[in-house]
Amino acid sequence: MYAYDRHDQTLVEERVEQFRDQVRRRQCGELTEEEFLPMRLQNGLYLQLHAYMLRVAIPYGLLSSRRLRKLAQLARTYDRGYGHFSTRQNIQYNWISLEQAPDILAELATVQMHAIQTSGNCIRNTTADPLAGIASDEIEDPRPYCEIIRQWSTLHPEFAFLPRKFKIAVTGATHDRAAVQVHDIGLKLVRSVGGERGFEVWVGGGLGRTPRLAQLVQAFVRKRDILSYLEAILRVYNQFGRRDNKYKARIKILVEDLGIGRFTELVSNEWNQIASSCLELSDAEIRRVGRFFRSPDYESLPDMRAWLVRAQLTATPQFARWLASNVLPHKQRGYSAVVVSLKNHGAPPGDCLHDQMDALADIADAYSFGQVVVTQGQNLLLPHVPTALLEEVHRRLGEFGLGQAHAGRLTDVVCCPGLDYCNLASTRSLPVAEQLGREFDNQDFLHDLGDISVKISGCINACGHHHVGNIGILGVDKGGEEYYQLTVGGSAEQDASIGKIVGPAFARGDVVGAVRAIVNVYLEGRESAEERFLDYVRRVGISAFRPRLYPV
Amino acid sequence: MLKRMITANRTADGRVVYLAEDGTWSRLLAEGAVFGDASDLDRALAAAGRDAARVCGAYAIGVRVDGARITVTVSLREQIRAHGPSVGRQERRVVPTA
Repeated sequence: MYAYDRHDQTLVEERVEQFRDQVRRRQCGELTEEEFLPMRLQNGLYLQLHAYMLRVAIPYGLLSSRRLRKLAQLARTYDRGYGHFSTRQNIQYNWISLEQAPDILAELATVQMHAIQTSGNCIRNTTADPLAGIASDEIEDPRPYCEIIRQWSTLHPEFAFLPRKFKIAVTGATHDRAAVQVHDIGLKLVRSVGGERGFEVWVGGGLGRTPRLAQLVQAFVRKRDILSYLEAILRVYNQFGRRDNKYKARIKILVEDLGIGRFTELVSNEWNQIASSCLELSDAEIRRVGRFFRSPDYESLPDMRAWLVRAQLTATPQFARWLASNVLPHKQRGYSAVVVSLKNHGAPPGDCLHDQMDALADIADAYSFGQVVVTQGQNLLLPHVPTALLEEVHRRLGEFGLGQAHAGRLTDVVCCPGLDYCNLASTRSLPVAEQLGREFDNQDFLHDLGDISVKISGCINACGHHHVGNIGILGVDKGGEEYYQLTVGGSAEQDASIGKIVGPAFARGDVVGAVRAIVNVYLEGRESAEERFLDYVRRVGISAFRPRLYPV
Repeated sequence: MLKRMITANRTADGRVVYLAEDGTWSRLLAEGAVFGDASDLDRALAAAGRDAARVCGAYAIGVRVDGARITVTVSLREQIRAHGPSVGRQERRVVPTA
């Protein structure tokens, strides 16, 4: 795990004191809210419906148990006892006071964390494959490059006021778990024909009111050139991106307006001027950063794959289902990765209580080399659990309400805060997620369905990523009434696609029934249990759902 | 009948507040001053806009008044602002799953 050097630490600590002074000036009236707004946003502080919300960056989603305990303490001391893990691998605190915000940032600095660039029109937290470093389909661990990008982009003077926010995701695996095609820039580590490792560069993806999949701008960029290539893209965007209309200001609109050919040409022209500059990464620097992400000292453990298969048939139903849905393969023999569900009845998806965080930190220390990863699915992940100890880990997680067996299943819902918390939302999303959890509570039914991603957004800004849900739910306000538009067929993985709208929106009271109808059509029509919901939708199209959803 | 009230977020902690008769800001909808006259409302709004150290983003909302009591705000957004999130309002505590 990366450890700050004195430059990082000084920067973060000085930033805390700078913000403390800005808060003081705001409180005594020296600064108006209009003047203060960009300052607080640059420090991750939003003003939401009920209170200030602080978004804390978790670079590439990786947490040590020490940092997780600090997040628990912050939730306990400064919030209402919980935090909310987001789809961009960050944590948000929903009930923060302005006066205490600098103290929270000072506490974060003691564990080498901050909230810089978690808001505003700048380069946001770089995200990565949650299975980075442990996936067997990985070409190379993407986290060293995420860290290099983090350092390059932090307080980059040229990119502090971009036309709009800018998000970068990196994967080093063939299976895309980082949603690179729906990011402003998506980087995939690939091998060239000659065997050299470098980056495939995708640009112009994004969701929101204009969902677009990214386009390939460069099939191979050498690792040493990745920063200069990113800088060239950002310079083109900074110069030509629209600033007159915030709804047309994301890079996806620029790429579309220019055409990918012209956009690539502009980037290449810029790149030619800066490729051989201080931005060029030396092998020594890549190795230096890479050393922070070395694998832990795994024990030599027996291969447990046969046991895993057998246990899914012979263990207690609850444990067997958990093994099937929440345990993922690990590249190291005898180890597994465990998805820890943060989808509890009665609580928003992604919410985690302070005592759950503390418990998870203890469990991580005991079973996972002290590491925890935040996933894009608003869950947490224990990355290095000895397979032989899974039953023990499941039991301990269960004691703290963290043992639900539904990762990847229909009730593992991704959901934005919606109108219950968000200033921008037009409808509520959380009650829909809760109703879905209750409607599909039958575990046998849920597991028979297999993997179905459900993603819910409370407005067109699409923070719940509904466009790329296998089933997407978008809340729309119609004359003061909440309605919900359903899409099917979305995916954020390597076969990324934008879901298609099935038809007119449903009233609040009908939306869960509509999801039930979609599921029933799939169950009746799938060729076998092996045909995933997404594959079924792609085979039959959305018209297969309409008769059941909109009977004449 | 439909009346108006002024709401904002308190600068110190962001909490939802309502302008009261005496010019203070109350956390309680029921303590908010109700405006029937448009010019009174405009004057109060302008004053609220100048009260930047205490509140930010002051604006008028519609409220329904039954007799002498204010009952509910009109829009869903304002109902949620007045009463809190509709999910997760109960005491949060660990419930074992296994």
